[in-house]
Amino acid sequence: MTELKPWLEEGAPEAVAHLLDAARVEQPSDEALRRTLAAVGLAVVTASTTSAMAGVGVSAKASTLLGTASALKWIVVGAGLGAAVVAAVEANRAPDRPSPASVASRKGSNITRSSVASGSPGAPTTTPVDRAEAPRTEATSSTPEPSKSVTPPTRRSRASDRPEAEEPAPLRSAIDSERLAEEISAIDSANRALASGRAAQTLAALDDYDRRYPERRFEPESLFLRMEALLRSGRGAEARTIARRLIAAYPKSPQSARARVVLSQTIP
Amino acid sequence: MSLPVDFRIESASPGDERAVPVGSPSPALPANAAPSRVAADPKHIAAFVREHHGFAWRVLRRFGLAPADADDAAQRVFMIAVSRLDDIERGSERAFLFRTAAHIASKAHRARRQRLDRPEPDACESADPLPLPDALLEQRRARNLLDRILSELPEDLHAVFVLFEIEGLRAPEVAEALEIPLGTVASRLRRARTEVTERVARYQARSGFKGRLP
Repeated sequence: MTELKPWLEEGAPEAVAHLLDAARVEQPSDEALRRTLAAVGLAVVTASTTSAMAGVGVSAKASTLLGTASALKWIVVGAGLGAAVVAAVEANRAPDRPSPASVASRKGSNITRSSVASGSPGAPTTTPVDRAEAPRTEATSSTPEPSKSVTPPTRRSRASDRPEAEEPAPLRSAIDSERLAEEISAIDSANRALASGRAAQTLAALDDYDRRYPERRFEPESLFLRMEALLRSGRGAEARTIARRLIAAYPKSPQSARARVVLSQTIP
Repeated sequence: MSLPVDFRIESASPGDERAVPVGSPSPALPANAAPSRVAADPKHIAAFVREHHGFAWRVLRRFGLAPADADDAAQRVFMIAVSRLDDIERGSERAFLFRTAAHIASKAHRARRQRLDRPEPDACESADPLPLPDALLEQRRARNLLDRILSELPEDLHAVFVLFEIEGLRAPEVAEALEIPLGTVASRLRRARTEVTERVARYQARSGFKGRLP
């Protein structure tokens, strides 16, 4: 009997190939893997391997930078920031997980949602890791223009609460990636609150984010979420102010596209 | 959804489930019974989970579970698998995991249908307030369409298609996982491809789905 060959190798129709490729690159989040390991009694192993990042849902395991869809958009907007994340976690990479036959293995770090990955009802669905094509290439090619959030953290002035004393390079890298992970988690909390229809909670989370992270590496996302939360709270005038600020600061960002819609549709 | 193969779950107590093929002589053990074999090395267990977690999760997704539900179901799959690790032959891990995942997915769907006050949620990936890059959005749409098409396939074709075309198992592995002859794998695969092609064409005509068919 002639050996069966995968449809993709035999020349599946383009439309079908598109569907198969999309399915083959879908991956569970690192949080889901961590919870599964915990379920079979391996929680200690996971905590030790992922270090402080585990607490905020950022995995030090090696896979693509393009983690959850929500994290991806942040990496896309801040391409340089994404590269910094890769650099920060490279030292802690774990071996790749095997992937479907036709998908080459990817390296990088998965950045996942934190508590939303528990699958609690009403929370936004944990978006699985997408192993897209060349992550860095896609990230840089998708970024319309460098924005403030693109600047790698090492080039920006550190937050005022950072100690002045010199630290060894690997430790500095670990601290920065940990802080980045916390920042991602903070924005993700606000995002989840908005997705759940809790505008007031979204605004409170964003106020907290602004206080704790003056460097605001995710300012486009923060402004976008604030604008949406204000709209949903019936505070149109304030939403328009934020929309104008978003467009002025990040004119070519995906978030600004939505801001322009807000300005055109809301009553001054 | 019923299983494509005869398979049962032994449950000594809630949460203590073991998946066995029908006809297996192993009795259900009381929850507090001492294990009849030496527990596997934690490193071995961790490696097993890490290696196959993605596979099991994607199978659950292709059986119609939403990502969050697949997360939870994957935990149950591996709790069962780890309890039977010593019985799983090397090279047959995915076959075992597939059968377990199919059963867990079936139970999950049944449980949801029984909760009459809560309609079955869409297995599609849910919307996210933040704008997605086009590439990711397109992938998500493609997966949603694929899952819709798979749900319309007969179960025997669905299983073969997922294992062979998406998860990349070789035909003999598919035959083992589904406990069917190799020839049956081939014939079901041909039928599945025909069905998928026709359905994609229909959806494409209806919605202008990206990609061209000859």
